[in-house]
Amino acid sequence: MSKQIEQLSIFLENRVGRLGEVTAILAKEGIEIRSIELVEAGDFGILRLIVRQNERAKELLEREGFSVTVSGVIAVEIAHESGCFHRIVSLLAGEGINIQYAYTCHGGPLGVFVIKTDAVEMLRAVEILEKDGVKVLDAL
Amino acid sequence: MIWNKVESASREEIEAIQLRRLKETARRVYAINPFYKKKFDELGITPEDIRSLEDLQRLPFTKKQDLRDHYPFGLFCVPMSEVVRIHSSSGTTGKPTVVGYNAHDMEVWNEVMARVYTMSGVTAEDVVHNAYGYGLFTGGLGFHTGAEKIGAAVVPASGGFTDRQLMLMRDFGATVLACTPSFALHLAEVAAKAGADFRKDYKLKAGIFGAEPTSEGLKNEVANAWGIRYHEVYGLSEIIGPGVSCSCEQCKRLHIFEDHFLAEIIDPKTGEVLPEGERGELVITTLSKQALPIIRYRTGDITSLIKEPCACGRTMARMESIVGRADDMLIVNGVNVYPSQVEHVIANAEGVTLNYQIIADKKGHLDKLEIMVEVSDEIMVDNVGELERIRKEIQSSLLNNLYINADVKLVEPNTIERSMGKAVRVIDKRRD
Repeated sequence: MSKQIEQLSIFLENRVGRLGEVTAILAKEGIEIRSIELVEAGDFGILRLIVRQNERAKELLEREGFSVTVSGVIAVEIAHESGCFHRIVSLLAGEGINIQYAYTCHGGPLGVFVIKTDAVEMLRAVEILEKDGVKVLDAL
Repeated sequence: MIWNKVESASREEIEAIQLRRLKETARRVYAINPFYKKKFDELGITPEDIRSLEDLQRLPFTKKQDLRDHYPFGLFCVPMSEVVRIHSSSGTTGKPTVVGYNAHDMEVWNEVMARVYTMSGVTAEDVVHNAYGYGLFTGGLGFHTGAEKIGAAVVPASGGFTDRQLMLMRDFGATVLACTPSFALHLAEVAAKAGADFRKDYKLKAGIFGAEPTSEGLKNEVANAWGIRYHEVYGLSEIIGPGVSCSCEQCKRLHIFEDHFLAEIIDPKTGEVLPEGERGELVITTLSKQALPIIRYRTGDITSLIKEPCACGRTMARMESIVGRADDMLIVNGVNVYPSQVEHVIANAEGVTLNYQIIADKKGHLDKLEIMVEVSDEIMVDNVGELERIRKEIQSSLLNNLYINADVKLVEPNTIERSMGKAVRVIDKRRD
């Protein structure tokens, strides 16, 4: 699986209290959330999470009745300078790789850009980025 | 295998038996029961006026309310000393309906249940896991004594205690499962979650399911989950309990045991008898029961009848699997909708479970329908477009197949109230 990071996607109704249920479960078990993205689509939404203890978090959430899917994403390190996003984006576009979605989080002194491409393109995307000197992380 | 050769008698023989027994039953109720005598007299008809099966149409209907009005034993036609069994329905509104059996009736019940088991391929070699509820409900005990009649080993598991039931099914090597379809699905889900290898751990080959209306989609789910042959049984306690009809190995329709139960299909609004093949309300007259004989009982179940002989060799009339209850039918902007039809669409959709709820409401002058469906554990949550597509596909399927415009809403697993018995599928807010 080389440099792919596991992300959990959780189906949530777009209603007060639903997100809180998930964060409560994770907080109670001491699971640290490394990144969080909440997408809404009408009556429902998708909560994308990257946590340290992936297997445990998935098990806990499924036991509580949530519908959870695991997907692979790529996390690249970027400096806090203008033009950094553009470099990554144009590298991939130049090779015909489509970015399905992306979001950011802070990894430390540098920022982290999380990208999802089509599953079949993931390996090639990592190769392209690394060849150009981009730092692809293997954990968050 | 056919239990009783009368099941493949000619139509003439069957009708001759029916006419003879109809006359006997009419005479019995007229002579013994004041309720029936009064109803016959009001119509100016006596048992002697019955000369052909067509004359059945002249006889009065019996409704559930009649049983309630004469609670508990007002419609019995034998003294209490002769009654050997009493059962009653759950009765969610008002008084429960009470039914009684004498020794002769118990023999009839065992006979029809023996036919049910035999047409489902069950013999004395089998182990029957009976998870129908034991007690006042006719399902449990009906399946129990029927199994004893054919000599099969019956495990009286009744309902509840899912994990324990699964253990018994594995350890006792149950070959036949008897329970409601929703419980069968629940058992399969729990077994799957515990990591069961259905082919290796369980020896089930067939199941006899009933007691709730079920869509084709749900039946396929049960059959596929367990890897077994699905047989459907139909019955109601007012007529005898389970054992009024059952599906054979050759056909999805259910053979009615016509030498004991005389079936008609009527238009629920006008009471007019409908021709063969047309859908309407099933009306049943008991032909051999003595403690509680019933004339033209309006079951409230919607189905159709055909009389052609079946590939299995049986000539007894076959009914369609119940389409819905006459009173479950919703009319939404002029279109008739049965919850079972909605269920069928949902069963064929991907990414969702069969836990759904239909909510009918008004939007201005028009009716509007909202259908909530729980997403399944297998659904790929990561793609918004995909989830939307699934939702839209259910909506367009409902429109194209049932001509209804419904707002489909995907909800989280375990959000819709689930009961082990009969789920509340429809909420009609328009009645307020």
